[in-house]
Amino acid sequence: MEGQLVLKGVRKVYTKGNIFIEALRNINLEIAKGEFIAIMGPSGSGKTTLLNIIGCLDIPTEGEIVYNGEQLTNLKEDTLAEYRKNNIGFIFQSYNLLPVLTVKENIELPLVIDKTISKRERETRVMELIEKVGLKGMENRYPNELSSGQEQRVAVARALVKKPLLVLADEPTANLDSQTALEIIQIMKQMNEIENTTFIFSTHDPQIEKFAKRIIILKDGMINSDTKISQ
Amino acid sequence: MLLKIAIRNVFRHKRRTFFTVFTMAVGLMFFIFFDSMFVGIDRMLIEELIKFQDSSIVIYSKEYDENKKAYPLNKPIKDVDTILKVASSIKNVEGITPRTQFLAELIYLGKSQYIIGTIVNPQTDTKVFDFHNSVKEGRFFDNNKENEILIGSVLAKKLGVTVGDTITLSAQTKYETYNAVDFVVCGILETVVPTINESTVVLTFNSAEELLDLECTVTSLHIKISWPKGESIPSYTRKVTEVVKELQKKLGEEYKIYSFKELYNEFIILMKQKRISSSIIIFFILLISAVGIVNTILMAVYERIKEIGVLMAMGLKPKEIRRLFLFEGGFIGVIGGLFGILLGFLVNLWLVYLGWNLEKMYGETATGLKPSQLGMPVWGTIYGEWNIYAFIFCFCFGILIAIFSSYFPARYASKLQITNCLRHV
Repeated sequence: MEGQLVLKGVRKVYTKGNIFIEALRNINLEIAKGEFIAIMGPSGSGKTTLLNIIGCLDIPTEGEIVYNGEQLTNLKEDTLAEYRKNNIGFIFQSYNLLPVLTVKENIELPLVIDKTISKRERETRVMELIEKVGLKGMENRYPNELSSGQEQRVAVARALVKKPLLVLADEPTANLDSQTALEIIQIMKQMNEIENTTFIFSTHDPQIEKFAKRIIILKDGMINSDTKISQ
Repeated sequence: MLLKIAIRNVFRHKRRTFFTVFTMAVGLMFFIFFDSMFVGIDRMLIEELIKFQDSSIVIYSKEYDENKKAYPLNKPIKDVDTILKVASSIKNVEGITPRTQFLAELIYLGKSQYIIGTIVNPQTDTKVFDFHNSVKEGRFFDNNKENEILIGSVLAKKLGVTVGDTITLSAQTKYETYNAVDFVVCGILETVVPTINESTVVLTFNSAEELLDLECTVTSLHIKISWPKGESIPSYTRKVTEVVKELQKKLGEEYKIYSFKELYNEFIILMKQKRISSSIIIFFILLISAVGIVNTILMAVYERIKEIGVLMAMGLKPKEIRRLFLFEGGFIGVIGGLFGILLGFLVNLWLVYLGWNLEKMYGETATGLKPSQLGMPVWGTIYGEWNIYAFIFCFCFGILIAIFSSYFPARYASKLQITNCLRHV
């Protein structure tokens, strides 16, 4: 199936000296295009590790990741970078905007890294997203001139500007007040519906949870439950 | 965009960038300064040799040249007037003077010493040599007085000779008979060339006639080629070589013509060896700059680890991360290089036009004596030289050393694990 992501028997072990920490154990998942998935679970349950492995930021100790029928587990770093660039958008808990770039430049950055998109096209997409995330008029501000909510909006726009097939968000609302968190999740939901972009996000927030179409709960590195919600 | 990020990151911590650029600029400034000063010292030393030893060009007859260590008086230059006429017509010739050298025994109050006598024409000699400005006590020759002699300072001290004393010179005449004549010491010579001070006496052609039966015998002709301030040693060497070639072509093979480069070849080799040791000093100065740049870029890497993680997550490849930091280093190099050559230009402006007066630097004793008067080898003013290549080298080297210094922190950044970067606080 197009845009399908499959995780088969994924295991991740971290080593610290003589200590082995099993962060993920036997994870089997099938994620279809356009899903809006919340990954929940207590701290240390493996949420971030799972997102990192799905996003090819980290490699599993065992198991396979297959995307669109292509095996991603044994790819070289440059090929993985290419895969991330073309297919995945990331939203981080602490926004991670580049402080030396303006709002517009931060959003434009993934397109510049891509190198295949014309300047005019970049301009159109960036301005479109700035309007969608409600940052019109703030294009030339630097991150230190924005509120936390505005920063996360920029981060969301930056993750979406390439029109990726998959957006991974690690606790995107953790640093925001409830009203702003709601606004951010609504923007994400809207993009999911309009662009059919797959969203996978980790959260502790029950307010956010209700927007998810599917909730995966992790416990001790294993899938405790995987529930599809009919809305 | 990478370049834009790099440039903006450079200005993100203005104070740190300023100190790095400043360290680098000062390093490069010293490079230009030392280069200019060492070239200036080399020029000063060559100029001193030209002023006191043999001038820019010397002409001997072929027979004299083959026996010159014996200072023979019977192998002179035959067509002095023709050579003077030919040489005067050549461009850049500032002065020509005849000289004759001979071996003699100097006798004073029962003490004696073998010396080299130099016979000069006071009118033309002053246009080529600088003996007239090097008379420490007494005076240069007076045209109206005969049998006057100048004596080297060390020699005078050794024999206890002072101005006004009468000394006797005993030597072989042109016809190889022995003769001895008394001379009155009119001045004590003190030059920068030790052999002149230690074993030379100077007398005029008129005074030497009686002693040596010279009959206007000239054993060498000395030509001074103009050396304007600011002209480099290689350029001057080329100019002198061209004059030598022209003279040789016009005068033929019966004359042996030497340029200062051939005359002082061993000294020039020594100068080149000295440049190696001065290059080591310069290398250490630049090394300090490099350490400053490594430190700045390393700090930039450490404080931007999270940003590196974000950029890698967006699909930036390790080599592009490396390039980002190399751009930053290179940009610091460009700014540092520009400031370095600006500072170097200003310092060199002072060194070229005002010079570094060594005697002033050492000062005077309480009794008003200068270092040279105390026998210390400190004299004159060192003038720098404009060396456009040093400026170009300096700028390019600044950029290269900055990029080279950034390479290791950049490599470190590109090898970081993305997840570790994103976790970094």
